[in-house]
Amino acid sequence: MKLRRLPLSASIALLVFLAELALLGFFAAGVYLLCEKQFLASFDESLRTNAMAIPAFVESQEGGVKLEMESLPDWGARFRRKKDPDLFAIVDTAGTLLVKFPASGDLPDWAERKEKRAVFGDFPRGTRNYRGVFEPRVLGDEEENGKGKRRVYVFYAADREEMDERLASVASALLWGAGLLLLVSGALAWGIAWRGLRPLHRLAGEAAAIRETTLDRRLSVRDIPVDLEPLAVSVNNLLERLEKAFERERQFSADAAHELRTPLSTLKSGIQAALVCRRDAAGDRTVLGELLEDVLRLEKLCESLLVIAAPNEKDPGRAMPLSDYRQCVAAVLEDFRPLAQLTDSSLTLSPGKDEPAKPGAGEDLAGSRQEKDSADRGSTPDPLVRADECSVLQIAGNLIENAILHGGTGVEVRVGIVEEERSVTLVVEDNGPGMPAEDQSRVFDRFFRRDQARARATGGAGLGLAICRALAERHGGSVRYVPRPEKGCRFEWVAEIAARRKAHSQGLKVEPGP
Amino acid sequence: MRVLIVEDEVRLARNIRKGIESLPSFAVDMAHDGEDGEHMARTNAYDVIILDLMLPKVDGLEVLRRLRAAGRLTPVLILTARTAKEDIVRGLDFGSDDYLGKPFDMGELLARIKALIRRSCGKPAPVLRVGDLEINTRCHSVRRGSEAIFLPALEYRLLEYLAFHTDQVISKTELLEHLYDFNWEKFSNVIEHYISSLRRKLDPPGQPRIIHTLRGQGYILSEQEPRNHQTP
Repeated sequence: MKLRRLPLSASIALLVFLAELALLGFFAAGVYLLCEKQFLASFDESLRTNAMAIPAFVESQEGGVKLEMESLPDWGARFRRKKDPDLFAIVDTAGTLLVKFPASGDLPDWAERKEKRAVFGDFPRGTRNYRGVFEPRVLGDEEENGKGKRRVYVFYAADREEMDERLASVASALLWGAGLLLLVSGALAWGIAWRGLRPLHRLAGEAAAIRETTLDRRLSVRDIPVDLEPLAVSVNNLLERLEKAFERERQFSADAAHELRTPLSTLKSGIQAALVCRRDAAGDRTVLGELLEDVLRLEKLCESLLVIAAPNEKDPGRAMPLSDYRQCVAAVLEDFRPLAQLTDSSLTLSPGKDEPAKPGAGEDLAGSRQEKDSADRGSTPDPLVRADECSVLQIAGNLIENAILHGGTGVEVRVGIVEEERSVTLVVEDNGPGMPAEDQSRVFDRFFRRDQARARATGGAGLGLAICRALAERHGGSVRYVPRPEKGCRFEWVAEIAARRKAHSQGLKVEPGP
Repeated sequence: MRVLIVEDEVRLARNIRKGIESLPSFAVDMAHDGEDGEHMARTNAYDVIILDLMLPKVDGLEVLRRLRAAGRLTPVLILTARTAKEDIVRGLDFGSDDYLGKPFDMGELLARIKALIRRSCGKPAPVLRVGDLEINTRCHSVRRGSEAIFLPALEYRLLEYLAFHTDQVISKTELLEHLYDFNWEKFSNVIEHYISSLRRKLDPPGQPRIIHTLRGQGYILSEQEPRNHQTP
């Protein structure tokens, strides 16, 4: 398992452990070195003290060199030890051995001597380690007997293993203490980290308990550490968005199912009625025609639902073809002329505010449907929008159809194209009864119908404006309702202009503008 | 039996009408919004009303509420796309007798209409018996004793209506009201014609009569002679 995959409490404990290992290591090493230095210094001190005492002791013996073990003073007890006795010797500057104890054995090879100061050295003797000193001394007392001074080196050595053992015990005490401390603190760190992470575990448990059916639940933000609060809050926000999206989808499915039910029951009852009725050929044909009508209506509803349910492009208009805005609008106008005549409505294309008036432009554009490409459209470069022609036709068509159908008989519908530098706006205005304020916010909702009866008669499912909005937004534009101070409704569709082209750049017919 | 369909979806209403009229027992009227529906239900005598809920002008539940408030006892079947449990409970609580969700099955709808009529007439058995006359409302067959009798639709409709209201005096006006839909020209002598035709088929000479005429009052389908109703 990788280190970063370790449980947080374990890795915290591990880090604490490592940090303490380093700290305690330094500390223990320092203590050990200090002890060693101290021990060695006091050992050396006693070596020197003894070395100082040796000449006086030797001199007090007659003859200077004869040594009676038994006559050694109390401090000399260590010489009398059978095992590992201390050693001493006196050497003159020429290297002649004056006194030596014990008599057997040589001096250690290490024999560096300095006139001014004591020289310490370690050497093995038998199985033991010894430490010794060569101490420069001046023997003889000038004033007393005038024998003259004699420069000698006093050698004194003692078994150092006792000291080494003490040092070792200090080291082991340090090691054991540090190890125990490490273990305890590591365990403590683990426990504390685990306890500190408990709110996180609780949050995880709460989050895990939320199912798609219980999206209304939230993580409890109270009583959690402050630094976990952003996490909990953002999870809650995510849940909020999820819940809304779920609710929208659920509502859409319910609405869609409900809308599908009506044409479905018409279809089903039609078939069943045809089955229980006595058959005759003429009747069969009418029945089939009616059934087909139902199927067509279902088909249209399904198409509409699909348009709305299609996800919006992340990158609007990237792979979209360009469409000639004016041509499309003109085609739509032509499409709706029969409907306008049927309802005694007037349908006019008025030039936009920013445009110079072009008399008869509407008719010219309308007439160009069959021969779009060759139509003469004046000198203004035509705006092209990044949307497939189908969408443009559908958006404009839905807006105009709505205006005609909801405006009532004899309504005047004015369609205008307002061009700006970067965008083009389709304005559809009518002087019909208008819309009550409470409906204005819901008019783009799916399945919203202002009047059940009229919608049923025209076969609408309340999807027209919802489709407009979905399509317009898919192409990076927008559709909005603008309240009119006077009577009637005004819808605006704003689309971005992706490019412009002159009429002759289509390469079909080159004509200078009028 | 006369049925009123209140349904704004014209095509659906027509289909239901076709389905119901495929049975000989029924005459059907249609209304396409709540206002018309309420008006028709109040002015005509219906045996069953099929009521949509989402209606233009007046909501279906409001129509139902007003009818019940006016004391109309006509059985009402709610036929709607709203099939949530709460909707069903509310519909029934508002005074409807049955509830059917769309899309529905025509056979089921017809069976429910027939059941509503049987229940409202207090004759839950599907086979109506008057003496040795037997009317099977399931397959619309009539037999007297061991003899099967074939009846044209309108004669069957009349006989069935009388059979559902045995031992009651049914006036000609009531018969006209319940046997014909709105578009029919109503002449009372049509009833007399059908009654005499029925008599010829059902009351052969030598057997006890079961269709009786009460002069000035109407008709009665009964095993016994209706003495107490007889006019001097």
